[in-house]
Order: sequence, then C-alpha cells, then structure tokens
Amino acid sequence: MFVDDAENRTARSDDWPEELETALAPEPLPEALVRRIRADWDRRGGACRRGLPIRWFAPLAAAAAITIAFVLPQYQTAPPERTAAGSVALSPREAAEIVAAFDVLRWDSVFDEDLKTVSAAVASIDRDLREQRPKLRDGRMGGDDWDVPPPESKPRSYLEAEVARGRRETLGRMGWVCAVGGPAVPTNANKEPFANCEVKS
Amino acid sequence: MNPRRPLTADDRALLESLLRDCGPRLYGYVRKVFRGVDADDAVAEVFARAADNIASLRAAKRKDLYLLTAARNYCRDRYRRKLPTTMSNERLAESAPPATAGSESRDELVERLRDAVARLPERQREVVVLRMTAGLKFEEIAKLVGVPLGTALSRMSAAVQRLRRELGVTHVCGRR
Repeated sequence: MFVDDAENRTARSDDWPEELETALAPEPLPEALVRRIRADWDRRGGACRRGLPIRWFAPLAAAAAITIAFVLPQYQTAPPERTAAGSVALSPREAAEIVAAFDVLRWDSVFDEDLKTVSAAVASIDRDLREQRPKLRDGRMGGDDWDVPPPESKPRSYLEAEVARGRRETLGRMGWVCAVGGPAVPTNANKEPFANCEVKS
Repeated sequence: MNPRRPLTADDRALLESLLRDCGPRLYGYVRKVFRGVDADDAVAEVFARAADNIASLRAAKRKDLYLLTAARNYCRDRYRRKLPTTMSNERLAESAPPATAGSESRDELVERLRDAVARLPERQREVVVLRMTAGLKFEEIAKLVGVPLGTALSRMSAAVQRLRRELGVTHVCGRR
C-alpha cells in the first residue's frame, strides 16, 4: 500500500533517536485549561442532561408567553372603577326587578354597570307599557283603567299577555330567561303581577 | 464563526472524549511548534470552535486531524507574525550545546533533544512533532501541512540528520 511504502521509505532513510519519542511525548493538559474548556461548554448548555432538554425550551417558553398574554387576564379581578352595588338609588320596584333579574341570570355580584344596564332595561319595559296604554286609552285596545274591555272584545288576559310578551321579548333581547313562576314576573301599573303572565323559557 | 448553539448530551460526550484523547497531543503540538503562541488560548479556542461546528466535527472521519488542522489554522492565522524565524545554520551551530558523548544520563539527553527540536526550522519541527507527538502517519502529515508526501518525508529526514549532528552519532539508536 501507498502508506506502507511511505513508512518504509521513512524507516530506511531516517532512523531517529528513540529518545526523541520520549522528548516529544504528548503533554497532559493543565487542569486550569481543562476547567476553562469545560466552563465554555457549560455556558453553551452542555450540562443540559441534568436539566430540561434544550429542545423543549422554545415550545415551553412560547406556551408560557401565550398563557400570560391571553389566559391569565381572564382570571383577573374586576377593574377598580367598578364599585359594588348600593351606590345607585333604586325604587323598591327597581330593586325587586333587579334582584329578580340577577337571580335569574345567576349573577353572584352586582356592580354599578350592571345596575345601569338593568335599570335601562326596566325603563325600556316601562316605556313599552306606556306605549301600550294610549292604545288602550283610545278605545282601540282597551280603557284607561284596564277594566274597559277592548273594542275587539279581546279578553283582558290577552292584553295582559301581550304586555307580558313585550316584556318578555325585552328581557329576551337582553338575554334574560324567565322561568315559570320565577321572580322576574312583570307587574301592571298597580305593581301587581299580571294574572295570566306565565313567561316560559 | 457560527453562532454558538447549545450542546446536547451527545455533543458533550463527544467533546469530552476528544479532550481526553486528543487534548494532550494537541497541546504538545501547539507548544512545540508554535513558539510564542499561548498554547492554553489556542487549545481552548480549538475546542470552542469544535463546539461551534459540532456537526462538521461529527462528520469528520478523523476527528484528531480535524482538531489539529483547526489548531494549525488558528496559530498560523493569529500568530503568524509572532512566530520566530528559522535560525540560520551558523546560529544553530553556535547555540547547539557541545556533544558529551557517553557521559550524560538519558534524562539529560532527552532534555537536549527537546532543545534541539526547538531549534529546528519551523517546517521541519512541525513534521517531527506531528510524527512524534501527534502520532500521525506521513501521509496524514502531508495532508495536514498541505505539502506532497515526499516533501514531508524529506523534511523529517533533514530534521533527523540535523538532530544527529547536534547530539552526536553515539547517541543515535536505530528505530524502525
């Protein structure tokens, strides 16, 4: 072989002192140098077998960032500008309505914004009721005092049911669901519950 | 240089084995050939580069040659101007200690050999060290140094003859 020939040529022509091998023997690495080299490797994560594999670091870091950015804010407490209920003056009826509504909605706390929303809904319902009354008053649908039967001879219960339906629809637009016999029963002008108003979910 | 990437456990195991097996040869090569070069810096840099280019190191069939080549390139690139010039024959003769045939111990002879090797011209010294310290074959030395095989052999021959002259014929034992 070529390499063997080369070795033979060298051996034939260049016998060297055997002490040369001793003189030029490899030298052990200084301990300080070994520590320096290993420290460099350690800085690159070379000792990662003792910890988390480095290839997992990036996915886990990304997952943690997503959790912090999107998930954790959902579990934060209410903003400080929202104050507890009680700061809004309510009539007994409004209070009863709101308490009933919150009971239906299964809300466990009441805040000013919620009260405003519900109060607006109550006002809207009252508006609907007032809009119904002129129709009753002008004789087309009934009298002023609810006792006058409508010209079309529709029963009172029908009118009451109509009012209740409008109220129910208003509640429905707000996402409310009233159960039969539940607390969110609409009342008439005398603050009496409508007799035949059975709002079904 | 490639950006530093984290080392896996396998990478670290490979580097540790190379540090254990090739580190002493590498250290001796740099110290004996590239005088004036900080061998600690050079070897540390070589192993840092090996960690940087761990993929190419793994692909290398002869990893010791890979490291020796990296060390040679590093030393020649960074310290080329600092390398001492080759001594002239006259200066070599002046600096050579007188031969004391048969009157010195083996340790003294070894020490004189070290000194004599250190006085060899750089090209001859490199071939001698690569052969004796790194344990390379002449074909590998020729590839590493970038010269024809005959050139590497002739450099070794010239170096040995020079050492013979310095040490005296009586100290030279045949080696095959």
